[in-house]
Amino acid sequence: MNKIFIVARHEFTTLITKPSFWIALIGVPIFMGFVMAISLLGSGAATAAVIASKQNEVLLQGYVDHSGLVKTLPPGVSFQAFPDEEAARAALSAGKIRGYFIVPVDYIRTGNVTYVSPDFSPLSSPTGQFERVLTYNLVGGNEQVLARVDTTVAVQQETALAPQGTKGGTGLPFPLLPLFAGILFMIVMISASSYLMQTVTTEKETRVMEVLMSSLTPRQMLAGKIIGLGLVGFVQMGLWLLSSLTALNAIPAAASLGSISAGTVVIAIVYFLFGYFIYASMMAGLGALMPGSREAAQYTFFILLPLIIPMYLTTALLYEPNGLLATVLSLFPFTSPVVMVMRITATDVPFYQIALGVILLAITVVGVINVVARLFRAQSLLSGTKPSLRDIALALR
Amino acid sequence: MTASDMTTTICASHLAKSFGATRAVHDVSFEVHAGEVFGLLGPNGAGKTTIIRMILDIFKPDQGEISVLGGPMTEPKKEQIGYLPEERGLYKDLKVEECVLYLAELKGVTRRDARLRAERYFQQLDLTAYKSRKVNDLSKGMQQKVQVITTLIHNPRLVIIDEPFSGLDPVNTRLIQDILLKERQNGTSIVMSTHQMVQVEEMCDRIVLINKGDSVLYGPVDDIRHRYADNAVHVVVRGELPNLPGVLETKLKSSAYGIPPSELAGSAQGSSPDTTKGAEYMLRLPKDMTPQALLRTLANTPGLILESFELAIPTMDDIFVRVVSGERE
Repeated sequence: MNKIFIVARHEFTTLITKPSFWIALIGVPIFMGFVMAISLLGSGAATAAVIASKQNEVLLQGYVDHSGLVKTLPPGVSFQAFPDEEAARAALSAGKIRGYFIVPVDYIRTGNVTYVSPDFSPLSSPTGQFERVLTYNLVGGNEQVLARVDTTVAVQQETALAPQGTKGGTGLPFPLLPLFAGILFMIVMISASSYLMQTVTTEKETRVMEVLMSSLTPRQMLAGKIIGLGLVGFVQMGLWLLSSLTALNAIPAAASLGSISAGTVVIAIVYFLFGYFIYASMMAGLGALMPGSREAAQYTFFILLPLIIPMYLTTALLYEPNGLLATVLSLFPFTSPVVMVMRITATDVPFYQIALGVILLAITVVGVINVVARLFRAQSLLSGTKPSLRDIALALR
Repeated sequence: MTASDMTTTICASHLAKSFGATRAVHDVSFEVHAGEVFGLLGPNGAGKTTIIRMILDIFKPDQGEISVLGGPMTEPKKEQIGYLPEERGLYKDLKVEECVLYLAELKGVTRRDARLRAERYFQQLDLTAYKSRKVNDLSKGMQQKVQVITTLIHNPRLVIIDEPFSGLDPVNTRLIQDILLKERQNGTSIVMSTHQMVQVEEMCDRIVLINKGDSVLYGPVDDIRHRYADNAVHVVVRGELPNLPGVLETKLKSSAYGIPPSELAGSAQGSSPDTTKGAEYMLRLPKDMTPQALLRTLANTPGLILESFELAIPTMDDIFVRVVSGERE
C-alpha cells in the first residue's frame, strides 16, 4: 500500500510540476471562455448587453407583451418594447430591430413565447436573454430570487416575416453549457489517460521498468499510476468546474448558457471518476502491450473513439437530450461519462437512468481493470516487441 | 536455516525458461555466496538477462528452482536487492536527486534517509554540482554513476549489476570498482554481468559462463584459468635465446618494453630480436616436461639473463572466446 502511495505521489508531483500541465490548466479555460464569448457575442444576449453599453450602436431586439407581465428589464439588458405586433413588424422591416418576441396573453398558463426574426440561428438566438427578462418579472424584479431560479421557456420560433413561416413545437436552441461540459470531460479523460499510457511506454523505453519491477509488483505500479494521475485529472477538472461556475455566476450574460447545480456537480464527478478508471486502465493496458510510445500511439485513437463519438453527435444529443440516442449513449459505459454529463447539464434526467448508468459503469470498471491487470504483467512490460494477437490472448489467460 | 543457507545468497538449480518457441535458458545451475563478486558471463543473447530477471522474480522459471537470500523471493526481500540494468534505467526528465530519491523510496528507504545517503554518494562520486540537473543533461558516464547510487542507496545484501563500467573513464571505473569491492568487504553479494574480462579477472571470485542458454563453465576464476592453462611459460630474457631441448614451440611475444613483434626493427616473429634489450617469449612444453626443468635450463644458459619467468595462464578473454567458440575443457 505504501508503494502504491509512493508511485501515486511521484506521478502526481511529476505531472503538476511540468509547465505543459499549467499551460493546459490555464489555457483550456481561457480558450473555452473565448469560444463562449464568441458564442455569446453572436447571440442576442450579448448583443443586447453590448447595445446597452454602447448606446444602441447595433440593432436591438424587441418584444410585444400581450400578457402585461413585463414591467421592467433586468440591469444590463436592453429590449425595445412595442405596443403591438404591427409596430414590431414595421420596425423589423425597417431594419431597426433584429427580431422580436411575442408574449401572448396566456403566457402564464402555457409558457409559450414566439420569436420572430428574418433568419433562424439556434446558436445565436436571444432566447436565453429574453427568458431572463421574463423570469426577472415573474419573480417581481428581485435579482437575488432571479439568481436562484432556473426556468425553461418554450419559445415558438418564426423564421420569416411572412405568417406562413411560423414553426410550431418546442424548438428551443440547446444551451451551450452541456456542450462545454462534454468537451471538458473528454479533454480531461483523454489527457489523463494518455499521459498514463505515455508514462508506461516511457518507462519501458528507458528501461526504468526493469528497476521498478525489481522494487514493486505490476499491480502496485498500475494502481499507483491510476490514482496519482487520476488525482491530477480530478484537480484539473475541479479547477475548471470552479472557474466555470464562477464565470456563470459573475457574468450575467453567461446565464443564457445554462446553470449547474451542486447535485449536477456530484453526479458529474462520479461519472468522471468511473470514466477515468475505464479509459486510464485501457490506455495503461495498451502501454503495457506495446514496445514503445510510437507503436502505442497507432492504437490510441481506437481506444479513445467512444469518448470522441458523442462530440460528432452533439446536435442530435442536445436537441433531444432525453431522446433514444442520448439515453442509450448515456447508459453505454464507454460513452456515458461524456453523454450523461451533457444530458444532466442540459435537462432533467430521470434518477433511475443516472443510477443505472453508474451501476453499468461500475461493472465495466471492474471488468476492464481485471482484464488490464492481466496484461500488466512483467513479461508484457519488459517485452521489446509488438505482440501478436496470439500473444495478447495468451497474456489474457 | 543451515550454515550453507546463511552463506548462500542465490541458489539456482536447473533453471529453464522459454518464450514461445524461443528457448532462452535451458539448464543453468549456480550458487552465489555472501561477500563474493560473482561473474555472470556469456555472449550477447546467451540468456543472462533472463537469468537476472528470474533471480529478481520478474520472470518465473518454467523449470528448476531459485532461492534468493534463503528462500523464495518475497516483497520485503526486493528491498534488500539492488539492480543496475545495462545502460539507462533512469528517468531522463527528472532531476538527478528526485530520481534517486524516488527509486530509493521504492526500496523502502524513507525520504529523509534517502536524502542523507544520496548527499554522501553525490559527494563521493563528485555529483553534488549536478544533483539539480535533469538526468538527460548528464554525460553517459555521469548517468552511470547516478545509476550506481540508485543501486546501492538502500544498503542491499545482494547487488545485481549489468555492465557497471559502461561509459566510464578509467578514473571513474576505478572509483566504482572500489565502491563495489567495499560493498563486498561488508558482506554484500555482487552478481556482475559484463563483457569486460579484465574486470572479471580483477574483481570476480567465481563465475558462471552461459552460452545458448546452457551453463558451460562454472567455478572460481583462478581455478578456471589454471584448468585452461597449456603447459607453457612466459619468459623475458636478455641475450640470445638458444634452441632449448624438448621445448615444442618458441614464440616471440614482444620486447620487454611492450613493443609487439611486428614493430621490432629488423625482426620478424620467431627470429632473434635485438639481444641487448629484453624480449618476451612464450615457450610451449611437452606434457612430460615441467616448468622447473625449463627454468633450470634457462638459468644455466651462458650469456642469457633471465628477467622474468611465469606460467602462461590464459586470460579470461582467451577462455571466453575458446569456450564460446566450442572448445570444452
